[in-house]
Amino acid sequence: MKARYWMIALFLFLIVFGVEYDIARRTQAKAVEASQKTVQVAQVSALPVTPAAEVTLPLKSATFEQYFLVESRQIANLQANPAEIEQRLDNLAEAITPTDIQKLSKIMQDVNSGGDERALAVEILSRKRTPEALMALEDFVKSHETTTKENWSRSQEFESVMRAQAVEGIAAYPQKETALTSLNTLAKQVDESFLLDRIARSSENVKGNVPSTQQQDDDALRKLIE
Amino acid sequence: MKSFLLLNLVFSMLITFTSQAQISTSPMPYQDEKIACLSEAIANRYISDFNIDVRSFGGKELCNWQVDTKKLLNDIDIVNNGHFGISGNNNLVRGFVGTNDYYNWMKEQTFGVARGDDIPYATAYNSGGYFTMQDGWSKLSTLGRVGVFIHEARHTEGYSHIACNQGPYQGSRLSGCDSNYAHGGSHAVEIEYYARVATEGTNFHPVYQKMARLMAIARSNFVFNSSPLKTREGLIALSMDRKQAFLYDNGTWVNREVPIVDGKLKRTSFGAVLYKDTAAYAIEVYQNSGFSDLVLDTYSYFKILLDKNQSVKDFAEFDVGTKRYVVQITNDNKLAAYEFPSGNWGSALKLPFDVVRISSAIPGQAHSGLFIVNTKNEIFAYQPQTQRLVSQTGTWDNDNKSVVFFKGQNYILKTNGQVYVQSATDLQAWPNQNLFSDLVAVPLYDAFEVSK
Repeated sequence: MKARYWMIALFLFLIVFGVEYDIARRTQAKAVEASQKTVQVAQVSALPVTPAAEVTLPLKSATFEQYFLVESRQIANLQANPAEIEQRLDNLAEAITPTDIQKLSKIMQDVNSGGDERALAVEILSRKRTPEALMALEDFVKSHETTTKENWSRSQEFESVMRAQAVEGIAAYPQKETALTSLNTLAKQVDESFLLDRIARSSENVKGNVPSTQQQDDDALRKLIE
Repeated sequence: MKSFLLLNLVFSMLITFTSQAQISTSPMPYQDEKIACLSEAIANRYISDFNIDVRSFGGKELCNWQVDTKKLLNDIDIVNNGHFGISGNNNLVRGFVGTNDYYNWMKEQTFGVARGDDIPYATAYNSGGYFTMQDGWSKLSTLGRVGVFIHEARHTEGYSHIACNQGPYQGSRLSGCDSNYAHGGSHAVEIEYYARVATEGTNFHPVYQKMARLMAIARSNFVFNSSPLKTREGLIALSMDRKQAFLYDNGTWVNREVPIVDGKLKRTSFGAVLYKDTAAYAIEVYQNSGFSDLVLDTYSYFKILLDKNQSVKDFAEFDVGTKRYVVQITNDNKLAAYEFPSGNWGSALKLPFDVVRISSAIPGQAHSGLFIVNTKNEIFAYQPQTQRLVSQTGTWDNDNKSVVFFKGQNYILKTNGQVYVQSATDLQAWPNQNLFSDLVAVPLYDAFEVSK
């Protein structure tokens, strides 16, 4: 009887050891993958002007903010290879944490933040494609004050444009049902017809009826004069 | 034995947490931002070419973005070195400024640039070719600042703005619109730049390009009295037996399936529905499906009724300027407008009469809105901004089944099924048409093809 207990104990020990080994192996692979992504980010950060000393800091809040600031400055710079920037933005979006999402959400909502920073915050959250990022974008669109003759200004128009950018981010969410639910919610809480038009077009895109709003815009912009 | 297994589990959990902690603190290098400085020689050239009052912008600064001089010089650098690929005339790119001429053209139109805050409501202003950039300019995105600079340059050539008679700025005390895009005023030249960046730009940051596309689309809707990018309108009519619908688009009628249900034909933000009690059934305006199943409209604002399971006397959604309104009239004649930010109906207004119908247009007035008709056939216009009812001259003719505003004219459906077109001077029967039992105007989106 005692021998049977020891057999079971040994068997359980082997299972636990096996699971530990597997977890350790997987996390090690993730760490390697993460460090490779880090290298990728550093490589594409190279700019066409005099290179500066590269500073390495641990990935904590200050680092993300500095990273974000550098990337937002890049919006004001001409780019030798815009495709590389796309990759860099994807990498940055992938690397951010839930805490970073909260920070981006604050930047996005803060009218005193720079326009480039706010537009980049919307872009990174759009590329993150997690429920937290989606919720941040949805809240951002909901918070919009409709553009009218009373509040008309360039900065107010910019608020509308950033919301349109956020709507595109929501429409790009990989789970279509979730994206549609979010867009339907917004359609009932936004009363600016420009944004409602963007929401309507995005919804039809998510349903598969029409191309993306970007494609629709490009078609409209490129349409030859009839 | 139990303690042995417990120890094992704790040990394995410790390993896992330690591994995760290692990931979250792994190094992530970044590049110092100072690499984006302008050279002294380039800065001096821009300052000279545009006669920039450097002192008013905070002194010469080549690197620090907190100083407005750096912002302005950087914006000029983007104009100077931004590249565009293959060009051709299209909706928004019409050659007001040559593709590769932006720098020289702006240099010609700019006699001087200074920083000021003397007109706080303006972003910038142009006085005889001398631009004064206000605080609002400094706070804009890079694209916004570049756009403002290009916009101001066009004013030097004598293009000024006029009062807005449509869009969000209609009724504003400031003259801020251009008549139309083809006029080639400051708004058009600015939007042409955005359109070029969006569709032909080769060396811009992707976020700059995306913002340019959205700015072009948004401003096209906001700042012209005749917008270059429009959602076209069509008409949906029901046959006399209500078993078939007809869509009138681009001068031709096409057959459309219709839900076999007794209900009012209504315009929605995305087409048309047949509405009855607490349900609205969608009419597919773009194509026929081949199925006769009833499809509940779950997209437009009629969904608000479905969600709340409310039975109302009538319901309408309509736009005034760029703002959308949804209004319901309850069975006891109370009118309430939907408050979008809160997601609820606003306070109900008790109407001093019994409502018999609502209409989006009335004969003799060439515009759409919300008109309420009472049992005495008196007509009242509802003003959603002020929540007021304004009595209209004349009464509703009971021979009018419905009145819709379409392409600048009223289309009046009589009870005999005939449609008449009302111009400023006369009323003429619409030739070559079937007899209809109901008629509404519907929005048709340019991206969706109407299949025959």
